[in-house]
Amino acid sequence: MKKVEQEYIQLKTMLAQMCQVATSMLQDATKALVTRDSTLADDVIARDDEVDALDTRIDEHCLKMLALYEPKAVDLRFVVTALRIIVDLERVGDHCTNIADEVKKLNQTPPVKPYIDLPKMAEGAAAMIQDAITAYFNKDMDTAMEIIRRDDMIDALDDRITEELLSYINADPANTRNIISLMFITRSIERIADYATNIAEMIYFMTTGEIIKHRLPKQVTDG
Amino acid sequence: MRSFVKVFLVLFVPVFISLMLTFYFIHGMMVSNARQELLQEMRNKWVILATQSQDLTLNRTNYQRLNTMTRQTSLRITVVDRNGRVQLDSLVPFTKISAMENHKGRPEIKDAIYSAEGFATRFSSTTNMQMFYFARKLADDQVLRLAYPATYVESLQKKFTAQAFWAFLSLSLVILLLALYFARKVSLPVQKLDYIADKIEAGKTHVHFPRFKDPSMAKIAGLIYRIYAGMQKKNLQLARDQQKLSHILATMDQGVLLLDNENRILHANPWLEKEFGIDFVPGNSLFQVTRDVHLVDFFRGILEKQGETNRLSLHQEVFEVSLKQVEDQKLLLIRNLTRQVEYESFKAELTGNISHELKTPLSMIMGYAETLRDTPEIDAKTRHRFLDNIYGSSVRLNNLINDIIELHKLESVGNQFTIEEATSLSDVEADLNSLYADKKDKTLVLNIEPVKVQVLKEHLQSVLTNLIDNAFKYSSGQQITANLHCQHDCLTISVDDQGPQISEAECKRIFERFYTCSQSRNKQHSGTGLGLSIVKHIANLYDGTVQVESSPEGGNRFLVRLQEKTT
Repeated sequence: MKKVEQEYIQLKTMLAQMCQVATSMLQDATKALVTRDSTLADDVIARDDEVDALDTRIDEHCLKMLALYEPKAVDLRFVVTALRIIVDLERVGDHCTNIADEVKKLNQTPPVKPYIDLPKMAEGAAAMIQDAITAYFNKDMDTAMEIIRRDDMIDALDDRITEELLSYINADPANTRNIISLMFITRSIERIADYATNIAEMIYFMTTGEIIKHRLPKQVTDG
Repeated sequence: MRSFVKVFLVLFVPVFISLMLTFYFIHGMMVSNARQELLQEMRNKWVILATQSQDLTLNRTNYQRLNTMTRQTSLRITVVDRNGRVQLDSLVPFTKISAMENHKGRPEIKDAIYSAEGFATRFSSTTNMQMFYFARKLADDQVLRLAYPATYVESLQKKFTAQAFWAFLSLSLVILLLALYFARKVSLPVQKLDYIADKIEAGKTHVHFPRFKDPSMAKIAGLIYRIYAGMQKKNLQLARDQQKLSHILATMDQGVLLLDNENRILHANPWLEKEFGIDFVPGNSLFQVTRDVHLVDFFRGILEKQGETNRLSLHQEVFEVSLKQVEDQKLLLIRNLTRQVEYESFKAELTGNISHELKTPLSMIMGYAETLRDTPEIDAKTRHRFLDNIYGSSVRLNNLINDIIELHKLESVGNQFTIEEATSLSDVEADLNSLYADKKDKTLVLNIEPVKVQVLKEHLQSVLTNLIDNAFKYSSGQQITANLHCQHDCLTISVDDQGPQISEAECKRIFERFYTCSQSRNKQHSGTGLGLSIVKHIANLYDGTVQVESSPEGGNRFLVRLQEKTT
């Protein structure tokens, strides 16, 4: 096998690992919220270092590939996209750390409400990230477009949860602190879904060379 | 064919060239010998002439004498003085002698004047032919020259050349034939070997080995034959072994993946393809064929932990993976443990459920009995309540034991039972009406077709009471509807309640033994957890089915289908 092929494979495995660690952080942070498990939340916070380390490693790896092999066209975009994906994945890790921090705070007081939509939203966001990375591996534009559309569902859930949380404040202002924590968590998950959309847009760029950021996905699908 | 030409050329060309050279030299030698002989003869003639003819001065008598000699012998005699002036010539007419050009320039004359004797061959314009000249100085400083036509040497040369040519031609022909014969003799075995080599190289399974006359060639061919036959046998054995191995690997209930050090796939058994849904093409890198982020990370996780057996999960399934390094290859063994893990947790849950179901009534009985024993002063009303509880718990225990016995009976009886009398559904309806007559909180609606069916009455009653009991216990609605109708030897029983609906996850599990819906566990009217299990067993006895679905009224509908026994 050529050396350059090995380098691409290594990039692929490292990126898969980073994606799995970041999404497992989100899943476990949500689990820690539902099961009120502060130890798990601490574990999530500790896992952020792993994501950061992978971020640095992939960064160096990509720069090495650019310098040594000078890839062209779609290969160049593949490496450049990896460089940008890791930035987003690193941010996902940071958001999960924030969620875990909020969970630890929430666990000190009795629960405000049963969580039904929130785990669903987190699971949806994690699946979006994972599917985006899979689409990146396969240079699959259709999946990328589908992920961009899935973001609307997450946004709808976000709106619904926020409305519901606001009604809880009205019902009992004593809960305000906890409700704000939950709002932070909801917002973080929503941001994570946005990162998945970002990655999907980059995949579109990678496969076609066309930039669709800051445009409505509808325009792209219709055109 | 090429080898034949090569051998032929090697044999023929050198012999031909040497033959040609030999003939050339012999020819040259013969000609020079003839010249030498002629020279010697001329010398002798000169001596005779010089000694016989004392007077060679220019006069008509002398001329006449020499002219006669010339005409008879074709020997031309010329006398030249020291200055090259011709004194006498036997061939030129007498009167023209004095007008002849000076002969001092002629090579033979020159040689004769300066070194006593000269010799030359050239074309003479006087005689118009190739002449042979010999000149020598006489005693009186004059030169006597003899000339003789060179025709003798020429004819000799011609004759000899013709002979030599024919001899050369016939010898060449002989050599050619000999060379052809030997070339064929030498190159034929080589050609045969070449033929064998071609066939073997082309991978032909059956190669014809030609016969060799030459013993050493036959030995070589025999050796090739033995090696080739041995190789073929080994190949066949190898192919068989390989087939055997791939059969074994294909039937294995676990994944076997062989990778090289660069993680390229060397072998993957079909189990892997079936389990992971990707094509493990040998020769490709493992991470080229895995395109899903979960799978990439799954295999990365496996390859990072060398020499260990690990449990890894992928898409809600649990795999046991072991990685072994064999020389410069990696062997991955992957087993799907999902079923096993599920069974383990099911077993733990079952044990928990059994002990719970048995211990709860027992500890209630023990607790109340202990209180009654230790507190004799307890008032009659409380005592009665306690005794009621003890009785209730023991009834529950009894029911549980009865259910266990019934279930055991159904299991052990299997299909070995006979129906002596068809069951009338009207009788069953009457029984049910009397059984549930005292229930006041809910109403039971029965829609039963008044026919007779080939189903054991106790089985039918067991199914109906279990389902209706459950509906009474768990439903919060006011009405319970049971329908029985028979069509094409198939008895369909449905029991509808009015909710709450059982969740989809629980629907899958309620037919398991001792499984009760989680919310119902703490309620007063908890069942034994065996009812639906009994229903399912009875359905199995009649090759039937049980299922639960949501009813149109928003409750649950339990549907049981039984095939009537034909005998």
